[in-house]
Parts: sequence; structure tokens; C-alpha cells
Amino acid sequence: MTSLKIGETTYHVNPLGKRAFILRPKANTTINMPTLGQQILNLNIKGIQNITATHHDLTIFCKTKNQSNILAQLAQVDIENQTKPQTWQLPVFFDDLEDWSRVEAHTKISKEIYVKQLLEQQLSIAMYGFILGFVYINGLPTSLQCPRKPTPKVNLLGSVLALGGPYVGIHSLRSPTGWNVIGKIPLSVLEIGVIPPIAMAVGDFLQIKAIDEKEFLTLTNTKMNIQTYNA
Amino acid sequence: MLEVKTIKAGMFSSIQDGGRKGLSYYAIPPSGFMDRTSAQRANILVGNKKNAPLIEMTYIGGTFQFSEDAVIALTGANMQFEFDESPLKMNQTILVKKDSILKCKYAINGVRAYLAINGDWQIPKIYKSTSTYTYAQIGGLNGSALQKDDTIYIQSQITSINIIQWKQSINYKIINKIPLQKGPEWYFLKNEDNLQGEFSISPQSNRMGAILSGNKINIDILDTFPSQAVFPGVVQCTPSGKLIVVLQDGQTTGGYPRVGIIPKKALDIFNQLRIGQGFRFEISR
Repeated sequence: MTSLKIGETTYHVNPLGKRAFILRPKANTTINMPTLGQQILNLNIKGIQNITATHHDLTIFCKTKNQSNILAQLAQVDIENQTKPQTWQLPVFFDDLEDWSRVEAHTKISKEIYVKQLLEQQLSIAMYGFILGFVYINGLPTSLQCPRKPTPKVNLLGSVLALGGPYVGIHSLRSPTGWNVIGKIPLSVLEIGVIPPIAMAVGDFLQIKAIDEKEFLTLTNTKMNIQTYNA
Repeated sequence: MLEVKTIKAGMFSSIQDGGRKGLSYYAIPPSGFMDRTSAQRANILVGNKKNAPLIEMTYIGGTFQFSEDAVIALTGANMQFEFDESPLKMNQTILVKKDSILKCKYAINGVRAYLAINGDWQIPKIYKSTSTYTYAQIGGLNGSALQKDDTIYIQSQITSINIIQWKQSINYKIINKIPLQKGPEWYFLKNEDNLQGEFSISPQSNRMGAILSGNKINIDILDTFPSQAVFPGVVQCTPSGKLIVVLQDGQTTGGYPRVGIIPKKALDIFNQLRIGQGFRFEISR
């Protein structure tokens, strides 16, 4: 099968090796692929081992090479029933970090003006991915976008806000990254051991609040998570 | 209860099992065995389930003391194993006596050795796996590689012992070809011949990924290339022309084109190549 219709939307079905395939909408669509991915996960379709969602496609990993039964069940997915999005406040200390020089050079905007413009954007949770505790955030206009670095570097700061291509991102853990780190986050957005490990759901809105160093240190010492901050 | 005490931890020894399944939506990587074939073999040799926990040792193995009689097996890289100063054979079931000391030295063939021990390992599971994932500090003992004085508790299940020997072993030192399937973004390559050259694993490599040294790859890539699903075995190409192989603790999505995929069985062998060991990709057409 090379295409699949789910609801009103038709998807390309492209094989990826022998036990996986990629679902990608054939035309521009308002379908939120990570949300579709979550709904497919919730169905517990027999034969699906794993799903990875990105903004524009789903990769579905199967337990066997026989995928026809899975495709038949996917055709029955109902994506109409979605929960109402929540709005989360996220405090960020926009410290003078090394990557600001790269962001300023690419966008031709000073850090001060960049932060002001960033705070005005309507941001929303796009998807999880990359590494545990990483959140992709939508809503960044082209003027504020900055490409990933050609060579990844290790982020030793832990919980940070970063820029990569069309997205803003939240890193919760120290790891190699090609993203441009622009701010420090004094809270944890990650709760290990539970599913989902990130409380912010795909589709929820995000309001970034710029804080100073004093507030950053105060909040860091509380070891608070984002749910408590937003309670 | 058997207590396995870490006298020396080695370069990087960690508890791994068959890994975490079905969680890439939440960016939780599989972790688990880097050389699945060797690891599962070790478990079978001691009568454990094939994906049971064991110790994966890297380059330089550890030294361990056993508080009770135990059934063990050693597979994968040859780390010149000794029991109480006597050489030990690999790839077979071994009965060790109470208070014995297992010494593992540096690998003379391969990179990763597997120490399986019969019994039910008393390691808490996180997301249904005991695998150590150091970046999130989960799994194993306290989410980190084994340290000196760490003790692993195992409820032994020995009733009788059959000595099993696995005759096949691999000389990893002569491996110089790694199969590669074309990836979804193979067409980004400006010159497919770039992938015909010799590569090697660079020192900036670990369980998350292997950065390869070799030809600079000429690639057409947008500054805003969208993120794509990746998994162990995917070969990405960075804008600067470097190849990165995603491995067991690696990311689940990535912003670099996926030019190739190393198949699962071949990935087991790839993960036994030493830093600097030259190889070429055998590309499936």
C-alpha cells in the first residue's frame, strides 16, 4: 500500500527498511502529526512496536514485516476527539551565553530585541523527540529562526532554552546538541519514571517569562517542576 | 543471595538488558545491549532469558568477586579473562566457586564484552528495563556506570548445570566492511562516491553515537532541515560533512539527513570495531 486515508486526510506510506514505514500527509494539512501519533499510541494497535512523531510525519515501527493489518486499523483512527490545550508559563533567564553571538549574527537582531520579540510570539508544544526531556516548540517566525550548528557541542548546563531551525527547544538534560542555547531554565519539565515524562502536552501553549539572575537562582534552589510553578 | 562485588569497574562497565521498547514517542531511546548477538548468547549460555540483565564492559573490563558459587559466561570482546589467576575460556558456561575473583583486562579483540550471571538480578526497572542510560541517570545501579565497591545482588536459580560451548567466535580485528542500506535522504548526497572511502570510529564516540573519521561528505542541506525519526543504526550526515551513526542511547529524532542505515546484525559487529579501525561501507543497491 502506498497511500492511506485516515479521516479526511490521505497520507503517503513510504517503507523504511522491512519493518517500519513513514506516514506523511500528501497535501498541506492542519493535522497535527504528533497528536495523531498520540492517538495511535492510545489505540494499542497489535503489531505496532514503536512510533516516532515529528512535525510532518510519523514513523511506525512494526513487530513483523506484515503491515497490512496495522494499516487497516490505522484507517479507522478518529482524530476529532482532542482535549482542550492548556497554557504553561516558563521562566527563562536569558544569560549572556556563547551561542548568542551566532544567533545575533544570523538574525541580524541584537539579543535584547530578539528576547523582546520572542516573548511576543504565540508558542505551542510541537512534539517530543531528540532526547529524553527535549521539547520542540512551534511558533517561531522565520525572522527569529537560527540554523543548528554544523557540529554538535556538549551542553553542560542542563535545563536550557535553545534554537534550532524552525523550532524553539527545551533541553532538560546535559547532552551533545547542535542547537543554539540562549537561556537557562530554573525548573524541571521532565518527570522520569512516568508516562508521559513531560507534563506539557502536544498542542499546549507556552508563555515564556524573562527572569533575572536573582530569580533564576532562587527558583533553581526550590528544585520545583513546571507543574508546581503553574499550579 | 549471590553478591557480585565490583573490585575494579574497568573503563565503562554498565548493566544492560534487551532495552526499553516502544517509547521513542517520548524520546526515550532503547538503550540496552550494543552487541545484541553476543549479549543474548551469554544469557543463553547461563540459562537466563536472552534479554536478561548482564554487565557490558567496554575496552577495559572490570574485576568482580562472587560471594557464592555462580554460573557465568563471557562473550563478545576478548578481555583476557582470568579466574583466580587462571585463564578463562569465552563463549561457554562456566561454574565459578564462592569467593572467586574474575579479572578482565584490556580487549585484544573487539570492544564490548558481556558477563552474564545465572539468576534473577535484583535491579529496579525504569520503563520496564534495567538498562543503564547515563544521560538521564536511569537504570542499572543509580543510573551510572559501575563504580568500585558497587554490589549486584542476584537470586541464583541454579539447580543443575550443563556446560554449553558456543564454537563460533568472531575475529573483530579483520572486519573491514560494514553493510549499509540507503537511507531516506540518500538523494541529498552530491556525490555518492564519498561513501565509498575508508572510515573509522573517532574517539568522540560513545553509546549515544559514533562520529566517523574519513572523507568529508558533500551534501546539499537546507539550514532549516526538519527533524526526522532516527534509531540505532541510522547514519546521519551533518552540514559539515561528518557522518554520525546513531547508537543505543542515541537520540530519537535528528535534524541531519539520514543517508544510510546499518542493519541490526551488522550493527552488532560495528559496535565491536575499535577506535581508528578502518572499514568501508558495503552499500546495498
